[in-house]
Amino acid sequence: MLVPRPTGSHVVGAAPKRRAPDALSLALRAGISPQQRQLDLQEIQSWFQSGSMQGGLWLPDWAYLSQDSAGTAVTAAGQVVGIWRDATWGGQLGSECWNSSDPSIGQYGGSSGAYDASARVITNSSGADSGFPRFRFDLGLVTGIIYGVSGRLSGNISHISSIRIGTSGSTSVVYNNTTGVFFAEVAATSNILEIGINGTLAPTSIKIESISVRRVLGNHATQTTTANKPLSAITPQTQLPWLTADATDVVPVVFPSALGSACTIARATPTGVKFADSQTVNATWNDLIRPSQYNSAVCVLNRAPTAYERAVIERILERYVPVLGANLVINGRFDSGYSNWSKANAWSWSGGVMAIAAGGAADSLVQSGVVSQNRAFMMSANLAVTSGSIRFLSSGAGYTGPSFSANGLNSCVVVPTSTGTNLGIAPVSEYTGTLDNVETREVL
Amino acid sequence: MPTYTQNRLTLAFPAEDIALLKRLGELFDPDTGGRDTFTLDRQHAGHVFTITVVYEYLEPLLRARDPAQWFPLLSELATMKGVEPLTMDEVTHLCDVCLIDDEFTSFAGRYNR
Repeated sequence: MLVPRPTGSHVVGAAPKRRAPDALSLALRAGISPQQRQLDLQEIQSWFQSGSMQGGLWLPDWAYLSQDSAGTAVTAAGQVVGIWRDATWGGQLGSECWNSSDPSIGQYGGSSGAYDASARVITNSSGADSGFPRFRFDLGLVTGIIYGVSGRLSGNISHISSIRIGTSGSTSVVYNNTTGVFFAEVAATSNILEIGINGTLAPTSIKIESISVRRVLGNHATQTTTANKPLSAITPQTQLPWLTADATDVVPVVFPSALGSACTIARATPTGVKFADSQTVNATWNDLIRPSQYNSAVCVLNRAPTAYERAVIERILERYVPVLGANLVINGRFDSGYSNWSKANAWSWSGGVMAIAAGGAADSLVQSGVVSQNRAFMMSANLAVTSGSIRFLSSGAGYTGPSFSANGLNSCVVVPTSTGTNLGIAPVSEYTGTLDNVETREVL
Repeated sequence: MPTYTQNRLTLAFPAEDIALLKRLGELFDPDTGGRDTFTLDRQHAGHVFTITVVYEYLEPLLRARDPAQWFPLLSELATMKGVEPLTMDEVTHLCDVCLIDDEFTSFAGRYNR
């Protein structure tokens, strides 16, 4: 039996008229239209906006990504990702944060800033510092939360040095120094909105014609340290957006409160949409992106979804599942030996698997002609672990996979950054156990 | 808008310089969280390190490790960000002890396969 797809009557938040039992078949999924996808997205949005569900939906399309806390758009593969917006509120804005309180005024370098509250005019009559005075309006903003900041200033607008929702070191909101218009979606770095004036250009008089600061609704993920940001990527043939991440990258999601231990996390992976039930999600959730994995669409719910909800989520996420190429590894099953592989001393073959003994900390198992530079490869292997951990690693090809220490199938996605072609497998420091069913497939 | 380097750079410094490195990270990171570029949580063989992309125009300047090039660059970045600039002595010290890419990975004893 087919799952009923949401119709227009569902979109406004109406409950489905009947419970749907099963997910769509793969063949039927392939025929889902853009219009149906939009309806599915609006259906999911209605669950969250009605308050019946908490969590979020993060889609890797560049429309949802920004490079930095100033909201700089992601426009190409290889750019850093500092904001990943939650799609469940569709960019809707919350209530107005601007208030009529007087600002505190930071003076420096001989500046003499003043504020006329009734006229909403900021002035400066003297100064010798290019970054002062600074007018700091306490709006009760929350660090890490994204706000839509917009308005227009008039007067000596070429004297403005910055408009920030934060203090020193924060990135300025982009403004037009001819028209005085400013608009941006920016992650706050403190509770204030700050207007900085170039004191060397005194005297200055600037009127706040209009201003609005409103929260962009949703549970957005932010990272303000460039070294810890993932990179935007796009698959070469299917042209799907995704994010690459190394071991230090993390883009935390800050929820209003912990979602509990009965959460469901759905992810689009190279091998299909995967649901994990009974997951714990704390108020700060660091698992949105994972190092050396195919980071794509993710949906988090604070409970187990119904079959109907699961099917709708699966249809949305299915769109982001890439195609995997053929297995590029020759004799990865080791059925009758280790031909096509070169091995260091501690490795041995027996009974259709490769084994490694203690003392082989620096010993690797290598097959050449497998990978190529700047392409993404999904690598997997079956492990029977006695002790320690192992990983895919090739400094010649420029990649290091994550440590594997669990029995069964382990997999990762790496992007070689050098011209080498080796598939390498080596202990992290020490590994004893066996290895079998090694595969490597390009993410197409 | 400047573009980023295509590949990440590994930059490493002695861990004892962490206070200085917090300030350096704040300067060359185009975003607001640069002070966390180097942390004591991420160190090896007495060095703290980061693996990061940087603006393309910064890469040759960083690799040069020439205080005469770093100092005006970092002073300009400090003015733009409104934070305290590094002194010439501090910049000279950082240039002297900076390890980049293979200099650090070889030093740190990473396998070469």
